[in-house]
Amino acid sequence: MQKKSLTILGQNDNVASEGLSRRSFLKVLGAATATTAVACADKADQIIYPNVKGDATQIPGLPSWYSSTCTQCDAGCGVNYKTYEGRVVIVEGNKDHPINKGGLCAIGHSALQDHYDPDRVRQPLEKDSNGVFQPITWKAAYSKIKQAIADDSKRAFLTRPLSGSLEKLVGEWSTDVAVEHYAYEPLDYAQLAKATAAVYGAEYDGVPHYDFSKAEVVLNFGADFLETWISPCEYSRDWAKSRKSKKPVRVFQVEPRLSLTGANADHHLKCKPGTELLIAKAVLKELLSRGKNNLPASLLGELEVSLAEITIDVVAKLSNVKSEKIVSAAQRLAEAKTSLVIAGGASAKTNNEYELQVICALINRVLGNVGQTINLDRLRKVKSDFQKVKSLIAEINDNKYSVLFVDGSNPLFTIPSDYKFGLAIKKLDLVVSFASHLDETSKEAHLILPASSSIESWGDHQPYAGVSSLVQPAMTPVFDTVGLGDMLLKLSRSEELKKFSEFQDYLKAQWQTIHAGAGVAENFETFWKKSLERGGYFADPISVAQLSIPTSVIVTAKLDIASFDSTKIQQKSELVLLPYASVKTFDGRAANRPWMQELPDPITKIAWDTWAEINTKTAAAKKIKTGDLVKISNYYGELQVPAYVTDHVDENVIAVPLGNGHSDFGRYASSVGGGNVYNMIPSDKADHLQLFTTHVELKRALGKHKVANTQDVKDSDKQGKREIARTSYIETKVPGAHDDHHDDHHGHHEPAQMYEQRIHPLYQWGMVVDLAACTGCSACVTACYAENNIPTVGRKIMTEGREMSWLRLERYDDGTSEDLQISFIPAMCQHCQNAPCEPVCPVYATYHNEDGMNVMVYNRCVGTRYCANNCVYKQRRFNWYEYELPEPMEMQLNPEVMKRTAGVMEKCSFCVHRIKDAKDHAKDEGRLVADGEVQPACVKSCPTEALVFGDLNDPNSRVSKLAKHDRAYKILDHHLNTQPSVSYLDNLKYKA
Amino acid sequence: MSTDIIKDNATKYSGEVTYHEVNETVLSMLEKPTFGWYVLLLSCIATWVMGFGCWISMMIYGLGMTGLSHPIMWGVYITNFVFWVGIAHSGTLISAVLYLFRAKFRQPIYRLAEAMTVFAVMTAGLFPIIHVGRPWYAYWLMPIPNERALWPNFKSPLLWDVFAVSTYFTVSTTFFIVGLIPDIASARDKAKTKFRKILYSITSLGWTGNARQYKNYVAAYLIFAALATPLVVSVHSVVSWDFAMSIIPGWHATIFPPYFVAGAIFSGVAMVITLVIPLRKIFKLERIITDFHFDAMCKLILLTSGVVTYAYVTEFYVAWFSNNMFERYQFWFRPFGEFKLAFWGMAFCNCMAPLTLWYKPLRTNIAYLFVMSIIINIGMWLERFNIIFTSLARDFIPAAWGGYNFSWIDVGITIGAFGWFGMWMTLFIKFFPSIAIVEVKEVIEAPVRDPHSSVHHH
Amino acid sequence: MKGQKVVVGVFTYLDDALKGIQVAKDNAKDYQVYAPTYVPALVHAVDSKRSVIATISLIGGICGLIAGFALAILTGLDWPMRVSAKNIVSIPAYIVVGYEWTILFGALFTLNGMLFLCRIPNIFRKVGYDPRFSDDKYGVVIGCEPDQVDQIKEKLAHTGADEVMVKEGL
Repeated sequence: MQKKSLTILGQNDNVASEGLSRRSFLKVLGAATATTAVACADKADQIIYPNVKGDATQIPGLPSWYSSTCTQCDAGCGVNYKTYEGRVVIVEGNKDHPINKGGLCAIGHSALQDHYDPDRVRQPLEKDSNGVFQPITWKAAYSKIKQAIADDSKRAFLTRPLSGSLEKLVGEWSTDVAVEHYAYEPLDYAQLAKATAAVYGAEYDGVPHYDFSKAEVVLNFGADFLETWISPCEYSRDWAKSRKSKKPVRVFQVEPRLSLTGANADHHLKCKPGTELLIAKAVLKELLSRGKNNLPASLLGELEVSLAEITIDVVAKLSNVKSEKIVSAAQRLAEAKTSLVIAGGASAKTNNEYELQVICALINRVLGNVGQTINLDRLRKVKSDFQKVKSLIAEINDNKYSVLFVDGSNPLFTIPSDYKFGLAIKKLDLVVSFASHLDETSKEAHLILPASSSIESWGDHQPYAGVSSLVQPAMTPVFDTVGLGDMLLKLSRSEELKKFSEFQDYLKAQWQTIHAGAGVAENFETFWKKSLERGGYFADPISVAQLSIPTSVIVTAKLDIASFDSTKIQQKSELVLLPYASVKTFDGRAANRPWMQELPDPITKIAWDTWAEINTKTAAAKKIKTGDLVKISNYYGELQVPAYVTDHVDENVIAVPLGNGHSDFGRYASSVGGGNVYNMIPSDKADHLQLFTTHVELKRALGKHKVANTQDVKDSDKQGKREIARTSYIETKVPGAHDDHHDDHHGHHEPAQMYEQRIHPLYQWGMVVDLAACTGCSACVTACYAENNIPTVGRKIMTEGREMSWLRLERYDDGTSEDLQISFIPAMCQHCQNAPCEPVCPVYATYHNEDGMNVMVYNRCVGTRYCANNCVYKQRRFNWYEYELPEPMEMQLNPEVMKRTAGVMEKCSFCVHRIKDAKDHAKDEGRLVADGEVQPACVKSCPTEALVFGDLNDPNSRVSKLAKHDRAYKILDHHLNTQPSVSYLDNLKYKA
Repeated sequence: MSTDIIKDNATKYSGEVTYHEVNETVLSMLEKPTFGWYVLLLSCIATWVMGFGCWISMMIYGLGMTGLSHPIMWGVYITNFVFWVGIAHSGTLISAVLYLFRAKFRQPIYRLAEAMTVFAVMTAGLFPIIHVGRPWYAYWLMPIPNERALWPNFKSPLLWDVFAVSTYFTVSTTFFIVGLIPDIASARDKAKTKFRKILYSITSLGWTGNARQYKNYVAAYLIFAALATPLVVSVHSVVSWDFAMSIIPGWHATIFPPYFVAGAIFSGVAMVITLVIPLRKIFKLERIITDFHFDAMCKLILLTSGVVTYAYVTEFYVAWFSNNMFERYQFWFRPFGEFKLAFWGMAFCNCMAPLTLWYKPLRTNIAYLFVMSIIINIGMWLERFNIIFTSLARDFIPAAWGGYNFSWIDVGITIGAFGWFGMWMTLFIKFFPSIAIVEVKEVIEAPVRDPHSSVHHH
Repeated sequence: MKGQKVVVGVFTYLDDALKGIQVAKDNAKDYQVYAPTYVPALVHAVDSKRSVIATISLIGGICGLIAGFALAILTGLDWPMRVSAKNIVSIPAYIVVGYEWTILFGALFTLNGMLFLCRIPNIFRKVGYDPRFSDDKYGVVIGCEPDQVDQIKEKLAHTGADEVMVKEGL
């Protein structure tokens, strides 16, 4: 520890001279907190660096907030960083941001662990002759690159899709130093953009903005818009807004494997792999026949021909979806005033994705959704161009290139090995990586210039017109890293780039134009400051899109099912590999974050592992049971992963989540084996990366593998009649209407009480969870880990059932794959008024406080564990071990929450420290805490505002209104009279 | 003690044992330890030292070393605690309750039973401390005044436990020692070595056995018995309330106190048999501990076995009759779930096997009894396992259900406890009279010169 | 035991010992009877009054009951922490404590009462005691002045004592 503090001090020395700018000040504090953080980590002796010079913006012990933008994916959600003494401890959604309006997904929260990742590259590295990386100085690194770009050798720069000023800078720099820029990400939306352009007009080459809140019916071909698709927080929010309304959106989900989004749909149409296109065509035909045909006549004629062969029955047979389901989908669409038809996700990434997107676009057009639920003014430009990347790889292999610059996007992991990028990268004279980790790609580099994380650097992001959001550094770099922008400026030759000493200046220069375009009265500096505080500049685009008549849309007449590659597979196999993006690791970028690895997957409840979802019948045929190791192989590679047997995937589909199976990247990522799924994908001519394209063989591998699954006990995913997560069906019950059946469960009539009920004079904190809005995305779980310093325990301890999560996202699956009854319920300490855990504690370590909360005194706890036994909700967690964090992860620890030692019980506290803060502020101002003023981490994080927190004493607070809602119930209360402070609202589903 | 009892007690002995014989036989047990005794003692010590090692490592690395986990927060240690407290019971039962009932077979075995009680409680008392997360703070459960006026929570059944067990330990130890005093005096008067002379002189408190001492002694003894008897009922009732007072299906049952008490006596008597049989063999006590005594203990076993069996059946009936889905699932889970072996093992050991004792010849077949007593002890351990583990494994929230991870630490500590218990037993039988000399003499007809004299008919 | 000398009669038979006691009763105020076990007849012959030990135990029990409840209630009031919806002082929960301490105090009082009434511990002063008394002999020890010794020896011998000894009293 001491050593580390000193090295950081070392940095400070050269800083001290340049006076006390905010950055340098943060540096000093960085050192100070590095050690104070260690103090939290319960270490013996530390050096404490006194904060000699005060700073108005930095009051030790008080947090300061910075607005910024989440760069984990391209959605561009706004975030707020909470910093203490110059270190970021919490990431939260920015409620003023138009995209996420306050919520943030799990991966967004886990950005912190990417930032404090112990496996980050800590200074520039150069590979020596033995292929070992040796630290070098920035000066040396720069000069090496300067040499490399001096000559006229062919150079390329491969990045993930960029946006805003950095994109511009990269462009200018590339021309400046004669580098060709390529953008690539594996899960791109190129086909969607292409189809949009084809059907709505060439100028609309991009991803339109979808508004799920306006749609009455949504027909969705596999797009996981509640998980990772394009802008999940935004879509979830809109979807939930509608689900909570009097007329909830009805979702039909067509996909061969049940995704989280599918689990939340009202009607899940499990189809054969690659038959989505047929169903889409059938629906289109059905709609046309129902007179929904406002299309140019030429096009109608074209369709007439090409849809001739399509009949519902044929399609039903081929796709194995009941024809009435297809018809009812079409019918609902036809009847709906507004609707939305989308396609995407992994299961759409077949060779006919483009056509599928075209049909969907046509359906939207015939239903007149454009301008209603589809907004073409807010196009998201698709920058990833796999076609170009392929040609780049080919040219490198032809030794046309000598230098390659690559950012942190780790293409070597995500480009299937069959595309020979692995060979190519070895042929280059110089590979310069700006990656922050020693991942698969940067391992191959000769020179690594670690780029700062987005928490440490400047930048901006324009997801679509009207949203320009800013990225600002919230703390000094944890390691000796530099922002990518700053590096490029240092490496530039041209004068117009050289004139910018820092990327911040370049950024400001770009924002001058935004300021000009905004046409606001205030001068730039005020505009800039305001934007920084707000998190960006947001305005609605004025123009209204005009649909142009598509010249011609190619719709093949064939009854074609997507074709799946089966090159050199010995015995013909019907099984198809479906690699999909999970909310845990997305495309692989989040794989080295313990929070993400420890987060149980919402559908399978598996953590710290990758797995293969196999249909029950298929598994039975091969004598495979859940937990068995299976070998999934084709000509290109093989995976060895534990099986997860379920009814929810098609018999011919083997679904494996993307993102794990890293050979490098970090201790956590490489601890999860199984093999890289990308490498199973064969290369082909297509201009986009087809993930859902290959046949595989399935064998039972030797040996068992203990999987960390939080719900693997027999029957533990069946709630039966226990009414833990309740669902009301909309056909049978108009939302909000009274339902006698559940009457007594709603606590309308109070059960007789043995003791007189306690009155809590000031506050009575409570929570309401609207299951109709909960998607199961698990953002709340991760937010809770971050806020409350909950340790991640790793696979082994998790298999022993000892995970520490204070907030358990329970998943129940009482139905069948035909009649789906999957329910998710976020369960935290219910803070019962008749808490069974309290009286049994022999030492008053847990008791009832004056705000009606069930509080836990860690220091007083002896560890008899009686409270945990007696907690009917099983919400108490025991510290079986002392869990240490590798440095510098301890810098993330939230100073407001103490770290618990071994042998002590812990549980959800409703984020009592936040309540305390709010109460103190209110007291200073001589008032009561206002409604919504205090929000626990989980409530704050929820992208759909499914969780509401507040004072139940205040009859006008949102929470007490909702608690009286007719859908409201309290788990087990009518059995046990525990009187929880947490109410749940029934989930709402449409009857099939 | 009324004279007729003295008579028919006396007849229980094969032939007439004289005062002197009793003295000789019992005190001969205290003679120079044999090699075998040292072996036994050392192996006992080694065993509990091993167990202690397990505990130390657990304290160093955390309770993760045990097989416990969410949601099975209580496990082997609490099982052992209840098991040993149960063992303790029969001691008090035999010494106190049977004393009040003037049971005829009590005298020769009660001292051993009492020793067993004291040492079993000493063993049981370790487990709550081993069990807690921060043993070094276990003393916080005591109402010890401190400057911050922090007091324990007297509403918690665990605190009741602290009081019940500590009281039980104190009272039974007192009862035990008081009973020993006159016998130690006999030992003192026969002591051969200087060390023993001093030891016994001090521990006998200078007992002489004069008329006044006997008068008050016997009166006090009766009162001790009267005080210890309610403890037999209360201690295990309180222990059972640790479970019955909770809300967990399978725990929350009014039947628990009687059910636990019966079980305790059941296991305790079995343990007495386990201990008495080898002792009787080694020290040739056949004339003092006769078949009659075993027969009587077997009858006690039959009775208590019947009671626990009835309790098991009742639990299932109530679960069904209550029509409570949680209870019903729990009691479906016991015989057919993850821990079904434990359940059926219990059913065999506690309900079926003892039935054989209805057959009289088996009741006096020493070898058979020895095996049976061990079977019963296993069965009773399994009973506690069933109650504690299975109830916790499946309660209200399916998503939170879990299992138990086997761990060698648990095994080590469990076995270590037997070493600890054995060590004290071994030491005891060599240093103090493990058969109540004075009380055995009491039931022998006092020698009279003139058989027709009326001394016995006062 | 008063008197400078003590005459010790050692008896094998209970009836003889009883005779010896009669002798003691007739000839001396102060005598002591030893027995290898509790023989009601013998004790009765010496002293037929009931022991007062029961009273002592009762007092102890009552103290315990009060102390137990007092402890629970006063500590509760001293550190008033709400658990669940239960009252700060909830008597039903405290019954166990009261009950246990009733027995505990009762036992401890009885113990001390017994030690006092039996005059133990008393390790060194055992006038006229003989090791055989703890084995199989009865003993009648009569304290007397030197001039009475012979007469009492005589009388004891006639009762059938195996042996009559004269020892120093105090």
